[in-house]
Amino acid sequence: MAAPATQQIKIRCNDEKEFTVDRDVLERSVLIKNMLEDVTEQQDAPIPLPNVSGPVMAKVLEYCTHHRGEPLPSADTEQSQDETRKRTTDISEWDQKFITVDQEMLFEIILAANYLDIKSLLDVGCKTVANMIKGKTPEEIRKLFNIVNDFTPEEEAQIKKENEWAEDR
Amino acid sequence: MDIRNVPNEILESVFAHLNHKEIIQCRLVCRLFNEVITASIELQYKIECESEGMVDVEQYRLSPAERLKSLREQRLNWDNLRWLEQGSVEISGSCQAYELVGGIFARLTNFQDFFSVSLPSVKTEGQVVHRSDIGFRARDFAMDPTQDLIIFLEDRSLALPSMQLQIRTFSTHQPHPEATSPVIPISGRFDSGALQIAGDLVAVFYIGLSTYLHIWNWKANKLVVDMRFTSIRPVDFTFLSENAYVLTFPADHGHLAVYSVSSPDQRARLFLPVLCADVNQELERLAIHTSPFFASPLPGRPFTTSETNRIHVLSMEYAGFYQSTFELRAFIPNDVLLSYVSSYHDQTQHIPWEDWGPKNTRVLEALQSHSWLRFVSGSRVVMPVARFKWDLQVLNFQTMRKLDEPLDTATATHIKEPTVIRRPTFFKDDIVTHLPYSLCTRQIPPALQIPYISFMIGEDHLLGLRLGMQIDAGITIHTLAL
Repeated sequence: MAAPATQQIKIRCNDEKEFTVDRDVLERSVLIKNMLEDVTEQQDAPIPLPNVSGPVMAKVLEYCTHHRGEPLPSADTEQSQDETRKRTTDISEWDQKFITVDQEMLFEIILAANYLDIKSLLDVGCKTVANMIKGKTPEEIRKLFNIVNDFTPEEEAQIKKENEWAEDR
Repeated sequence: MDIRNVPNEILESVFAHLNHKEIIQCRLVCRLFNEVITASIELQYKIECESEGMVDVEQYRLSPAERLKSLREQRLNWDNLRWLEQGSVEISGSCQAYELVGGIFARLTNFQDFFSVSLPSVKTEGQVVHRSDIGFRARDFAMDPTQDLIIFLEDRSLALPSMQLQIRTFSTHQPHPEATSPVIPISGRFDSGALQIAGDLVAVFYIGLSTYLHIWNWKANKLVVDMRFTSIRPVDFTFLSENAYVLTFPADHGHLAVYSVSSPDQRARLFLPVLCADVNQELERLAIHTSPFFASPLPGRPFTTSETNRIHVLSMEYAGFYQSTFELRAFIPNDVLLSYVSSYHDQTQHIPWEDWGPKNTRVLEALQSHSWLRFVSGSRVVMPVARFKWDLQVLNFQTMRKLDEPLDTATATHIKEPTVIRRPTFFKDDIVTHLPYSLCTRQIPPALQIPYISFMIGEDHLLGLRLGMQIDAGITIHTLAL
């Protein structure tokens, strides 16, 4: 028996770049999934995504294509989402390779995943940033993310004092 | 585009992947990071939970704010031994074997009368008493309520095999559904032994013609460790985790042997303080004790003690001239012992006392008392202050805490300075140990002033045990729920 023809959906990014994608791939995004469910009639006009640029969307679609068919976390499993978020900074091999991008792209992907509501991708992004921070001193973290130390010496001393208790052992 | 464009709630998720020490380091990076961390109750809870040596129980349905409140309450109650409820349970008959596990006190009498009571606590109503005839003669039992598991050591007297393990459910005493075979035969015959459960494993350590340690995977009915000692013999056993265990050897100066379940040929021998070069001193008794193992966190609790903070209490009884004896207790964190399991070596490692003991443990002079077991819970240990006195003390070897919530100095003190034990007639060198701990002492409420023979400690309980006046009159347990 022939597989049912997959519905193709058109999307348009904020730089006018358009993609035509299989519906199930796009539905990794809860935002788009909800939009498609609200629309009953077949529409030819592309879905506008004013917060995502073409190059970032291309990356996001690469992720969604690889993970197509996997179960989506439902609202009910928020607890277990919480769990994976806390428990581990392990990232699967494919995701690891996928997320090996420059910092600017990394943050773009995180923002896009947040906007498009793709929890697993947002999670991979957050874990990656956490792994970059792990084991570094505050000065090394500033250097890594190009952050200026905006504390006064007094404020810095105060935080150090507040931190003392937890560094006991 | 950089990290400052990321919304605060996403930064919060990033920080939630770090451990508590890394999170507080991030506070020092910039104002934004500091604000995100201090404003987040979830991160605040994580910091305090981990620095208390606890781990979060993820499936528990409480908000981070409620968890944080509960964590702070528990810390204050324990730091001040502020018990909120007290009650007592009378138990008649002799006590052949007993357990205090996960708020349940259970006891076996006359080889087949089984009795269990769930102790009253602040969160749960207690006093659900079960009595049953287990239907066979048992010498001992061990249990893990998180697996609904109880394992009895059945004594079949003259039948063969003469001993076997009966693997049952705690709730109904039926054969446990996860056990391939509900009965595991033991080849030897013995009067006394130790039975301990850790996850899928059950260990039987016993002294017969030789000394034996058998560890089974009770689910698969598979013997995974089979050790027999004939010359230099161990005298006690405990699990360290589901993959590691320790045996105590009192011979010579005494040592602990740490093994991994998956490769019992490799081991580390941790030596105890060297005795004087004189044949008259010896280590007479070397017992090791820790709190029960649970396959999963106990229900009804949003957090639980992390396994690295589990404490082991090593009781060392020394004897010298003219029957002079004394007892030392060494308090050893689990991660210290486990660190010798994870380091793979081809040969046996020999670790002298100086290399592992002074920095990582605390050795105290103890009252010589063959107290009832279950005096350890997580990182806490309960002991009487002195013989024939009413005071009890709780030592906590998890010492990190917030400075802005000072301990109630009337009851609890932080001990950081080393303990020096100077017994030149026994030990070659002074025993100097540094592991910090906090100590909390409290008098028993006047209404309960009756001679306790022993104290026990659980996750939410302190128990005082009193023997009845007549022989076989049983015991009374006084419960102090925290």
